[in-house]
Amino acid sequence: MKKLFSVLLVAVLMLSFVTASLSFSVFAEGSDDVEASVTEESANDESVTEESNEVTESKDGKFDMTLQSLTIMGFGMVGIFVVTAIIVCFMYLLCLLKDKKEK
Amino acid sequence: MEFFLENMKFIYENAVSIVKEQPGMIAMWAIGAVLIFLAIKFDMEPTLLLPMGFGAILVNLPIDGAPEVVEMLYGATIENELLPLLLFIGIGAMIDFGPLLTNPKLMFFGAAAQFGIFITLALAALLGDLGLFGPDFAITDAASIAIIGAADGPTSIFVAGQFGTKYIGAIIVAAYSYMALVPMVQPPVIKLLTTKKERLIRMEYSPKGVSRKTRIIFPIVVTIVVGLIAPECVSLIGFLMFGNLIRECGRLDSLSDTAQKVLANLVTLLLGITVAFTMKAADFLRWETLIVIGLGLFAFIFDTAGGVLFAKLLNLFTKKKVNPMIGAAGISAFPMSARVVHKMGLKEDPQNFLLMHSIGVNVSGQVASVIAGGIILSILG
Repeated sequence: MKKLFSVLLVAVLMLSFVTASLSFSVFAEGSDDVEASVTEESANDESVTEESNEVTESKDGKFDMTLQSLTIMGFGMVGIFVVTAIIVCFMYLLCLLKDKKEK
Repeated sequence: MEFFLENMKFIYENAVSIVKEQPGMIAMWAIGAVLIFLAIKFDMEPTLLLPMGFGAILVNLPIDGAPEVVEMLYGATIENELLPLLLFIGIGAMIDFGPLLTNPKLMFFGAAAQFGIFITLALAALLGDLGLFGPDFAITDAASIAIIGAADGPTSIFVAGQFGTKYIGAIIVAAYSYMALVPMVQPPVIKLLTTKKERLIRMEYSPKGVSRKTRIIFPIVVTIVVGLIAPECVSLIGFLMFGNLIRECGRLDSLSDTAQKVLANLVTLLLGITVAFTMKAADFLRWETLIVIGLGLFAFIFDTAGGVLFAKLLNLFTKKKVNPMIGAAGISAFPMSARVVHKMGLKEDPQNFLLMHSIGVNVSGQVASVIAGGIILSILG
């Protein structure tokens, strides 16, 4: 019973962790959109200073895609292990189920 | 006689003009012939390479009729991801999750063996940044190429199709070719990363009975969990688990049998010839194709390395050592990878039976590769 409870607890904790991280990613996406719209507005504005242009250039560097892929790599590997851990927890729980004959 | 000579002249002139004006077409015929040769002579994934080889010849003929039919099939079955999903029902019905449910920890090896996907994504992105793929290369193209590392044809087609990449032809050819080459690609990598002592580690197998209830509930639970966390891949995992539920429920034996044999064969037959639509000379004969194929090999190597190194890492912390070779079976190529590891184990020590452990890891790789595809789709979709 104690074992069952602890496995269940871990599963619930992990699910809440994933939900939290998903909400965070949605939030981050939203803030990215805001940032993008601000950049667009400032690009349209003729009174933009040279300084802000320099900042935009450094942002759109040559290795942007590589840097993005490294972020995906980090999130991806963590994501796989978290999902796997949740499935493993459920597998341990399921393995506690016995057929009538076995009982 | 005159009519015959005129016809011969016409045929000769046509042939000369094809050779002169469309050498790519001839090259694709040669590629098709090579695929057919590999399938028949070396038994390399013949169910796919043979139809693909023939299809490559078919869509590169200087006539309109045949390619149009293949295009219609492609639009109706691959573009909307129908065939990969149907194939997953068959695969699900073939898989026995028993060895994995006996030892759930093995699931982590499957997760670790997806490392190749992500490192390949980074490399493809770097090559894209360096301009090797042309100016319109996007991160979604890099992700589509990286998913070759899933070692799972339907997942590769599904993800590449979702991203609408133009490299889909090369991706499919690479994915299926390397799956056939698993016995050649994996052993050198495993040997390079393990010592003789590690390869001799014996692992006990205590066959605990897995209840029927567990076997029935498992596919349902996995579908719900993955569906909640990575909804982008719920169709893939859902169809895979649906096939498995048909197998395990014990009431649908004839359907399970049909899914395993008839459905899987029928879908594979259509899949092979239909994906050949992406092998038109103009789309396929680019030097980027060679890079994609190279990146596919890179992905397979690092998948293997990821699994082996994860097992070695575990051995640092656990009393009961695992044979690091089983980590290599975490790729989705089922059941070739498990067999390769088992054979390598027997070669080192004829009394070391790693089959059940490697099968468990191999099955987990099947699920983990779909999750990896779903995560990539979630992030970039």
